[in-house]
Amino acid sequence: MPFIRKWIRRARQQPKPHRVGSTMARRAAAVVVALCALVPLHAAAQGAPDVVRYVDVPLQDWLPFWVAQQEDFGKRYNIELKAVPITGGTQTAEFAASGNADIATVAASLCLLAVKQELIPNRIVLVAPVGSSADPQHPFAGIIASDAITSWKDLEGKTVAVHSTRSLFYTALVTRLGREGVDVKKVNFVEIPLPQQVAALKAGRVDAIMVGTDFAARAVADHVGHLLDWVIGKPPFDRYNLAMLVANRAFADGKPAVLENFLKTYMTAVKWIVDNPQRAKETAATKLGFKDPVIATGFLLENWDPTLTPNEGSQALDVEVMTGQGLISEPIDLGKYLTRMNMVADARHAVFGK
Amino acid sequence: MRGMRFLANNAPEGERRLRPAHPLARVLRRAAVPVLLLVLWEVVSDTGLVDSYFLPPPHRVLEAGWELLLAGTLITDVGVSLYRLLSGYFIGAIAGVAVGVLIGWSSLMNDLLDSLIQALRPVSPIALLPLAIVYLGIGDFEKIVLIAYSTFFPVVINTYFGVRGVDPVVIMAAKTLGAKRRRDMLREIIVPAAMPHIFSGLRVSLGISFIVIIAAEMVAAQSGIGFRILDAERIFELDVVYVGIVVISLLGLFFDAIFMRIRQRFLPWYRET
Repeated sequence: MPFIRKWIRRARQQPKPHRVGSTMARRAAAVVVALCALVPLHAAAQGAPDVVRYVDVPLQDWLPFWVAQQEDFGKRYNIELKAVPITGGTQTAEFAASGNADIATVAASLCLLAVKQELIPNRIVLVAPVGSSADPQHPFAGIIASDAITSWKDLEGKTVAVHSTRSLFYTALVTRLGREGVDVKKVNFVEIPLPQQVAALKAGRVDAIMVGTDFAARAVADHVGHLLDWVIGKPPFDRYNLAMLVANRAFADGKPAVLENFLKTYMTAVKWIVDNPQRAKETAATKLGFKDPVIATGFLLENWDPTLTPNEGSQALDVEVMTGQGLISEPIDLGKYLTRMNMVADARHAVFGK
Repeated sequence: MRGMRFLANNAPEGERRLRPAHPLARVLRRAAVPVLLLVLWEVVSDTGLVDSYFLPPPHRVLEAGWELLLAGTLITDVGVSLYRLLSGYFIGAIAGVAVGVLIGWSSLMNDLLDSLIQALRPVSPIALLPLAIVYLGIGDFEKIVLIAYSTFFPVVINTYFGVRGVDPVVIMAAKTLGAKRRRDMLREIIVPAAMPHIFSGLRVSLGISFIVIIAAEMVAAQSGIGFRILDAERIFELDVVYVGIVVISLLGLFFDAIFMRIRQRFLPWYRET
């Protein structure tokens, strides 16, 4: 191997590197570096906050997380919340299932599908309702229709935009249409992302849109259409729980104390929302990117309940709707999967006392 | 001299390497890596190395595909997607070749259109999707236009370079031999000489069309492979998502094979180096 010998010879001929500083100075520097490396270990021993990664979606259901971060409520219970931003939908459950996040907020209706696919309880566990619900004073979504449509019956033969035909918006609308005596088969539903629905209505591409209070405020302010009625917030979707808190199974089983501390932080944040509705609305508007003052002031806060009490009526309605849509074949009792309610009660006791 | 000797000594081996393999051997060689990947996929999914919810094993994907096939959903979705894709592709390809020849042949047209083409070329058709809904409505038309748009630019650029790259000696020779009319020059010399470039553009566009149709069908659609993938994802049916991905991949492979056959037929004289 002459080339190796040549290479070694060349390496030997290289001048020795110039050493910086005295031996003492180098040793001192080494000690400083070692101490720096030990600082995190020391901090851990002193009770550094436990990191809780949560799936973050720009929807109002995530408001307690934003408030907890803004007001630093995690510090009280020794946890640090870290956002894992995603777009939403089934990804909320999938991120928690895969372990990419510890906690997620999942639409109540999607939880039924997650049970059907055995994601619950095999990979994620149901922890508690998120604490937000829609009612007549706190509507969540409704129908904005063109001027030609003045009653529910007028929607027959017309085109209605929904952001997804697998969404709560769609299932709630179909249920409401059925109750209003509309032949749903005669309504043409098209899927258009929420931000583009107002433009589609304005351009006359659709006759009505199903949007949240934010885009509804924009559409009405621009005289693009009028509010036919709220759908989620009005019967049968009054007192309707919008979503559930779920946790990655390994996280929930492996770190129950951290999960309980998270619940305390979350409840504290929800209490703050109830006590400071205007500031909470400002926080939501900022996080939701509502730069438009019409939307920022026009959207409505959901009805927040800091006790995170399950609403059996709402769960039964979800089952009825999902069965009616053929998305689940047999009734699923979500209450059976709410196995951490003792922990929720303990957290409630710790935060609010008896 | 050493180099010459080296070449002389290795000439038989070089010839042997260029000699085409037995057809059966070629088929086996081509199938080896995909089959290996399938086996690997089955193993990592079945043994739990990767969560089987996120990566369902191939046999479960096959079962889901079979169910969709029996229900007629798969055939409908493939049919709808192909209708949109091929309609848009042909419109974009024809327009692309026409404009490419025009700007390659005429300096005036090149000056008029080149800056516009270069400005629009980087604009992703997916970025135009929200606008397409508003301006073109909801239905097949808006998707066909987007496919045509995405097909147009690779074809136009390749055609332009094909036309510009025609050997001047060939043009001179044609003129010397009596080809005087511009139309004859185009039909007999320029376009045939540019054909390898045109086919390259068409082949690239076909691949892009498959990408765009999936994205386009994920918005304002009620059928098609893109819609099916999105819809399945929304109800946690990831095996159906994989069915959609596999179907798109197989369709791409199938159409590319057809495309190469067509190229061989139209350009029998053309050999890739």
